Amino acid sequence: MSRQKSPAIVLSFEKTTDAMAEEKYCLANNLPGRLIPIPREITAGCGMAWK
Amino acid sequence: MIQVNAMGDACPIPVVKTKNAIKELNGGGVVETLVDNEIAVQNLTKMANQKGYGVKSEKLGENEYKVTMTIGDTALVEDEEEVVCEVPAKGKNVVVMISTAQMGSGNDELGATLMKGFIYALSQQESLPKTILFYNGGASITCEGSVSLEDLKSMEAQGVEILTCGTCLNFYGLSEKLAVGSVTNMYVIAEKMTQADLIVKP
Repeated sequence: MSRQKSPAIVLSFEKTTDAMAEEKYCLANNLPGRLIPIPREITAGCGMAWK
Repeated sequence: MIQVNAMGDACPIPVVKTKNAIKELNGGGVVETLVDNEIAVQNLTKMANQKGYGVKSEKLGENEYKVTMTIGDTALVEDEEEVVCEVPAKGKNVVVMISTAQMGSGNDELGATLMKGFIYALSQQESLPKTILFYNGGASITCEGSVSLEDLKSMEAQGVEILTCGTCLNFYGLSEKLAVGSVTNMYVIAEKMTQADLIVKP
């Protein structure tokens, strides 16, 4: 099973709480995007990112 | 052109034999590998794509496939990485159990963010689970207003069975709000769990 991969802009954050605060702000202001676990291609660490 | 016969060989032998044949070319050329299963075709295709070789495959008959690789003159052949044998996950019955709206315990807001991230990451796996069960606090994740609906719908469209506990929906007053998958009962939940090869509980 192979998925369709498409280019996307991903924002990373220094802190998980920053990512969560940014999500809150974007949802409150109807800005597009979603919070996802930070892709492995970007960092091996555990974190959230905005796609 | 070198022809490799890897009929009857299990992974990683077809890939190893093909790599050796490519070395024998000492430069550019064509290597044809005969294999008897689809997984070997996929592994060879993957290897060719990684190395940047041209590759095409055709089915010659029942349990007979030919993979043709075209190697450019400048192709690098010396690097040796491990051959990964992919076990077909098709037959494996993986069941994911979501029993709370949060992943782990500690902070509920973080837990909700983690659960949302888990479901997204699950939907991005090469091999998807067969069934995802939602119960108790997890039941709200399949209902209207859930941030994971898009990911769950995409998995459902790819054949993943999404089941939510009816007792739980009723208890939380969510019976009319289910937005993905179907309602199930404890007998089915018990059956899915006991028949699973692997249970995943985030």
